[in-house]
Amino acid sequence: MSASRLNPGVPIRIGSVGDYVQDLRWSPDGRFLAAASISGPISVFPHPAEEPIIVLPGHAPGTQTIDWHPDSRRLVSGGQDARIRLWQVPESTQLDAWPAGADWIERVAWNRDGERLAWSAGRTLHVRDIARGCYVETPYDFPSTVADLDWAPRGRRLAASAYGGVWIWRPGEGKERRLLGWKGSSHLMRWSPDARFIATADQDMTVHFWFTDSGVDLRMSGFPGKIRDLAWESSSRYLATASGEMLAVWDCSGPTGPEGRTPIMLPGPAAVTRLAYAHAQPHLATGYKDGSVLLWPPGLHSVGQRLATFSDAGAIVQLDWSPDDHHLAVGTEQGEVFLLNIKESRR
Amino acid sequence: MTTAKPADHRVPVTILTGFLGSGKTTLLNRILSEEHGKRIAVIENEFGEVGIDQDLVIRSDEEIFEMNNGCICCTVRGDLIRILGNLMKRRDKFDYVLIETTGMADPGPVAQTFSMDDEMAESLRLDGVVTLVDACHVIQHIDDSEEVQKQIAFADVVLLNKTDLVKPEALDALEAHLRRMNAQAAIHRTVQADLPVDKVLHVGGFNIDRALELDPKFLEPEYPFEWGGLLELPAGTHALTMEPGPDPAIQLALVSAEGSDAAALAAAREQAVLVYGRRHEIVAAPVAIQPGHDLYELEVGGMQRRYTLQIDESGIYGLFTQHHPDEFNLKVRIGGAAVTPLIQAEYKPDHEHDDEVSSVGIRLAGAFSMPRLQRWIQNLLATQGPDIFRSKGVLSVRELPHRIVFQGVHMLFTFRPGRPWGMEEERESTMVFIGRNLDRRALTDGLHACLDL
Repeated sequence: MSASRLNPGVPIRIGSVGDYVQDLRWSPDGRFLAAASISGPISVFPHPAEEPIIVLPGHAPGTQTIDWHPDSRRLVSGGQDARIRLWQVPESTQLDAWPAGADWIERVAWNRDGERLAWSAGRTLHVRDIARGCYVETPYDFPSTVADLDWAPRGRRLAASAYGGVWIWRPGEGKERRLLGWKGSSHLMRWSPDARFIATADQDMTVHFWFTDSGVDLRMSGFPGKIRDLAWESSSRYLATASGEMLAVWDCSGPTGPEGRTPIMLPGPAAVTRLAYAHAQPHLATGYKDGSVLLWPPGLHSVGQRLATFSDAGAIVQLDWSPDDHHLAVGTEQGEVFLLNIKESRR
Repeated sequence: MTTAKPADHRVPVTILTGFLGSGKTTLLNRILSEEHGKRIAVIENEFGEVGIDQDLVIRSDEEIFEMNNGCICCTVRGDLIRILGNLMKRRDKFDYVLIETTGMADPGPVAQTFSMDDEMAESLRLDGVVTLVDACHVIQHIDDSEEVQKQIAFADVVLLNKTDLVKPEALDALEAHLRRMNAQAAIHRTVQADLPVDKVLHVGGFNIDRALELDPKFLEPEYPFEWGGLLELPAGTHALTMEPGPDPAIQLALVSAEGSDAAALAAAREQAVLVYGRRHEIVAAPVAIQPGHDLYELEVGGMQRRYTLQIDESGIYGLFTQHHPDEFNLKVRIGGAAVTPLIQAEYKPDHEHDDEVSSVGIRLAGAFSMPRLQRWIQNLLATQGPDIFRSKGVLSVRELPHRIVFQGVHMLFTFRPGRPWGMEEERESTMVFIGRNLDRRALTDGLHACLDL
């Protein structure tokens, strides 16, 4: 590995969504950055910023979750009007809308090939086949509200977490859902990029960790407070966890993963609010309550590099790397959206 | 040490509980129409039916789960964590949050949600639990419904609603029953849940520094003495005579009083409660009994006894005896003639309720040793937490210039600094436990052992 220096230029403010940035996502082709505000409207910023900003009405009284279709032209959203809406960008037309099934929609996600759309609404989970225009199966019931869901990085597996553990299955194949059981309540769930692991952040200030093949699980405790975010490094070796002012990074390599290991502890300037690993690079970006954004070089041996401090814009609540890892998009509590231009220059 | 508290910008939350038909929705609509200028978020249960066009009404399935911290009564409402977390992200946050539970709900998990989640504790402040009671029908459930008992036990405010359908005597009996179960709640009688909104919102129920000092008279539904009276005594040396009775000894307190009416007796009674709290420095076989802070224990033995009563200043004094004076033919005599009390009262010890919900209020003079107190409370709540629904205290701790405010919901508890003590103020502590199977004697003894003497 060669040493590299990152060169973040001056942050560019690309706009405001007016209220807390609830979700922030680059389109897969890097042409658009979508930012959903907690009060409803979704702003789509073209990149580079040569065309006008597109504002989609979103959901009243609030948008909860968005996701881009792999074609980078369709954006799906779910919100507190109990609807799932499909938008066309840049035309900003609504292509479709479906009743979500319950008031509380936590998460909406396309699978990797963009044929299927999954969303959770209260205690049910729905999977829609977009090409055929129908639901894949009847809605899946869960013992409690589905806290998080995501498709496996490859293939057609879907995972959903709720009180009682994580369920994994291939929708539409008629088989029973496999349960990775744990009597706990999670609020975040993340597949590792190689799909070997699933990690959840639990309400009792622990991180739960499963080997997806064997179902063996580990529990990581000792966090100073609620786990605010989880992020996997692109090689699936490191899992970063944020709690209080401490960034803890767990080495998950080897046959036993993080078992028996202590994490690398990296103190920051304030409470950590957000984590984002770059897509292909081993760089970790962290956001803080005081508006700071730090960048941690590979290996995590040195201190984090301060990329920017947006002290007037409130806490950092969203971070998303552009598909080419050249830009880091930042969303704040006050609704500001910034771009950090991160060009890598090898020495 | 600084005692000024930073302004609390957290959004207050009120929990509305009560059986189906008790008037929760009526009260909710009343609050919303009277406070229409405010941004109030309402989280309703799945059967709720708020009739008013409101900024934000969210229906929610009550989802209760246990925390994995080895504490069986540590349950929280997962749905509330999600919903409230979302609400608090909004730029112009809400002025108030109202949470309506289902009729059968246990308010415990809702209250615990606010202390178990740090994100929540940062932006929200539990103001109080308001419980509606259907005066007409509650009597059918009060003895056998655990839910009704818990709802009453958790309340900071009880609305005894639909009083127009019940006779006054029955209401009095019902209120006394509620008072035995929960000694610290404010009880209001209402028709159609009609009462000023400030009686249910911003009550500071979990800010007990204030709440406890409002109602000290409710703290001692049981007294450590059986009899009290006010006597007019001239300055001089008098006699107190006794004959053998059912017990080998009798404790008594003599305090000064102002006036001769029921209020004066009640004030003197509160003084006497503090004197009786000084069991650790009891004065046995006194040379002379004098008004003041001492708790005397007089041996009766098998013969007539005569003690000296020393009064320096003519006035009215309150005498409070552990047993009824008639049992010992106890008299205060001025030159041989027995003094007749200006007013007197009997305090019957009340031990009839065990497994029923009740409250135990305890007042003690002096100051606690903090480590000892912490250990005791921790142990108490670890073992009896499932039965002790709520506990509160405003405490005097050795060497601290301010009060310590104690607050517990089942096994979870916090100590926080409260108001400073005045220069001349008597240091005393008040503590209330509300729950089942409460043993007043054991609780009092346990607290006593935590005093720093």
